[in-house]
Amino acid sequence: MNKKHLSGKHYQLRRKITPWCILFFPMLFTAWLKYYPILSAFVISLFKYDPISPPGKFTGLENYKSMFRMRFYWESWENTFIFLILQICMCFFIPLIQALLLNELVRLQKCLTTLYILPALIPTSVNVIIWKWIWHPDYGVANQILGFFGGAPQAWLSDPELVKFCIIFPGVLGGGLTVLLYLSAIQGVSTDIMESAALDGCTGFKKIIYIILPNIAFMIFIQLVMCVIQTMQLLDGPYMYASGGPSGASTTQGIYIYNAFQQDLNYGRGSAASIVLLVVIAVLTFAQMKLEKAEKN
Amino acid sequence: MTLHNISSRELREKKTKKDREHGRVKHKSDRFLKRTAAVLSIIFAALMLYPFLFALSCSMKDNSKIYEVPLKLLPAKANSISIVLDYSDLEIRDEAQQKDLMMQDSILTMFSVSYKMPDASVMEIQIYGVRDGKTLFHSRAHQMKLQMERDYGIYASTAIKKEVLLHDDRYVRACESIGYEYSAQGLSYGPEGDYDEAWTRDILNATSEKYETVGKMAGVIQKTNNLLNLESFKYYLQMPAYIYPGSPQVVRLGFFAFVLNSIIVIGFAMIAQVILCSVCAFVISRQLSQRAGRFVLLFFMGGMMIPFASIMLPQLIMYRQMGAYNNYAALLLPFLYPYGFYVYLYKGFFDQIPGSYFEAAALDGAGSLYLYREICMPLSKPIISLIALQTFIGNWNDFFWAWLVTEDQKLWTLNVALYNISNNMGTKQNALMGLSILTITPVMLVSVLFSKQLKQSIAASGIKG
Repeated sequence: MNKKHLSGKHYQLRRKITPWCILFFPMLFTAWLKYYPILSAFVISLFKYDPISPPGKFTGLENYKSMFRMRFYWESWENTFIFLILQICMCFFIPLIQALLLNELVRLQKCLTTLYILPALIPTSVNVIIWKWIWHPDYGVANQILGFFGGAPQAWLSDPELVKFCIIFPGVLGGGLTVLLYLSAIQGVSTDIMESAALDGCTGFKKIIYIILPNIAFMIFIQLVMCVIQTMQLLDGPYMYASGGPSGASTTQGIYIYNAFQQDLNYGRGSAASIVLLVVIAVLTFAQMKLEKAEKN
Repeated sequence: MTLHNISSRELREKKTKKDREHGRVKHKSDRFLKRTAAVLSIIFAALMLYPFLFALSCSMKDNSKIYEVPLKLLPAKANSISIVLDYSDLEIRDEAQQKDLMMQDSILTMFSVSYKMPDASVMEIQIYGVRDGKTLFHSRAHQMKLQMERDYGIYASTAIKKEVLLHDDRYVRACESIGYEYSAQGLSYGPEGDYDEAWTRDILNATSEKYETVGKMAGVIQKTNNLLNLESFKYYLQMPAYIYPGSPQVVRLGFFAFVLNSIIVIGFAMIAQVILCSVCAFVISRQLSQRAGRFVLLFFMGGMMIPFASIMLPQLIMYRQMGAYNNYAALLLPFLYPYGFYVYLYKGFFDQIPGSYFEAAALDGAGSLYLYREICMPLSKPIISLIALQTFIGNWNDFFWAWLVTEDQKLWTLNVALYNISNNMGTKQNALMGLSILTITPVMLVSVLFSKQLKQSIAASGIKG
């Protein structure tokens, strides 16, 4: 009797401990590979970091203060915002339009959706190779098209005024996974609403404007927030197209951080910029989560 | 009564007429929308495909045609020329000298033609050495092969002159690299076709002055073989071996060295995520109380919110201190913790498995491992493929991290390799485009084949995320 009771207790204990034993390593690795670096970035940002004998001299918030006084830092934010505006004006609505059009098709729909996935599977490096040649000042298609309409040839990626446009422009062709997300959202609009709207004579473009768009407005909004979050972190594209140049015109936050470490070897300032970016993204993500929760209730 | 009848009939008629009218209006506006949608969608699709068609056509052009303005979408037709050199009336001491002469002449002609006549679209040059009606020597070179030898190989950064081409044993090495056949008794095949006068004259002009051969040029046979444009791809694949001769792995495998690295990294990521996330989700979903489960899930999800741009450099410093720099550990370690979003997707799936399954098994004394392996895993095939696909889509495009931690060429993934090759000033655009096409074609084909699963997985992840 006593023995049985003991083994029951033992069993209960084992039942409680086993899950944590299994979770121990994944949680440890997450903490080690993800949380520890960002904490160490925060610590480094408080020091005048010395890579040879870390961590160097403690300076408090001096790194942040000096960074906020730098013109170059604010310029990189400005660049990021211009990228953001361009992205939203030029590219954001294209997948939505494509999805709306796709929804009206019957026979072509399947094969076109497949086609629209493909751009998502093209790595940036390949896109950069193709578009760099299109933007080439001497042999590129862009200048030929411009010449055809009587425009003067441009330097495109070497022009500080145009470089942001050139980096964002490939997105105008649309496609990608967002088309599919929108399409499934549109097809998720209840058929009751659609049918009663059709009975009331709401068809064609009217249907899109008065029925479909209001019904997927939330999805569009979430995608907008996602687009903002992603553009804030823009790094690969501008780096591969123009390495942040010419004269810093395509330096985003990510490239600023990279340069602070790799070129200026100023670990403290780079970490400070990392932390500021983290805070901005965290606030945006948090807002997105709150909104999604509000919508669900 | 009749009046009533008539009026009701009229009413009915009126109604149906109204209905029909209404229907027609509806039909009309809908049809208009459908037509516009079809036309616009096709325009969108064509625009989207344009860059790829453009890349494909560039990759098949030869080295001079890529600079052509205005640009043509179709590559030019590919010329294959056979040059016949006659050694009949020459005083030749012995066989060794005869072979040597033919090799010298072959290299001289090939490189002079490719150097002096870049605009002629000569994609293939064949040299036949003939004596007394017998073909003794044959060598064949593709334009890309000659270009690679000139850009990165035996004749890298040298002037194309007779003395330079024949200096020391260079021409022997070049001949061996290109490939040739020699037989004193005569080869079983020979030049076929008629001599083309215009080509003979052009090539004589190109070679006679500075690149004079010992054998006399009997004539040139010209053929058109557009398949030669496709053969360029074979040489694009070898090109990395020429650009980076210092790395034995790259020399041995060419472009496939980078393909292999990408497969290793993505494959590891897929396996690690599928296993790690499923284990974590199983524990969260089945073995923890709700509150504890939510806490653990939040712990994993929190890690995902840290943007890469802010973590990359502290991460780099940490990895360097650990010695995970410029080796596979640096490339693979970032996949060794469960991604919060995938844990979340898994958990949603495991929550739906009826609890009675687990209770029944637990009553029979099954342990956690058994429950996980024998109950959860067989049921979760759809979710496994979803996670694997998501991991692939999410990490196939990874560039910056792999670029930060790899210096050694043998570690480069496809993205890093393409970026580095494209920044190499000597690399021609057609080769770059060719490598790009070779990179994306398999992925595109596979995604078309599995488009149904892909669509499902994207839709499923989108609804929840």
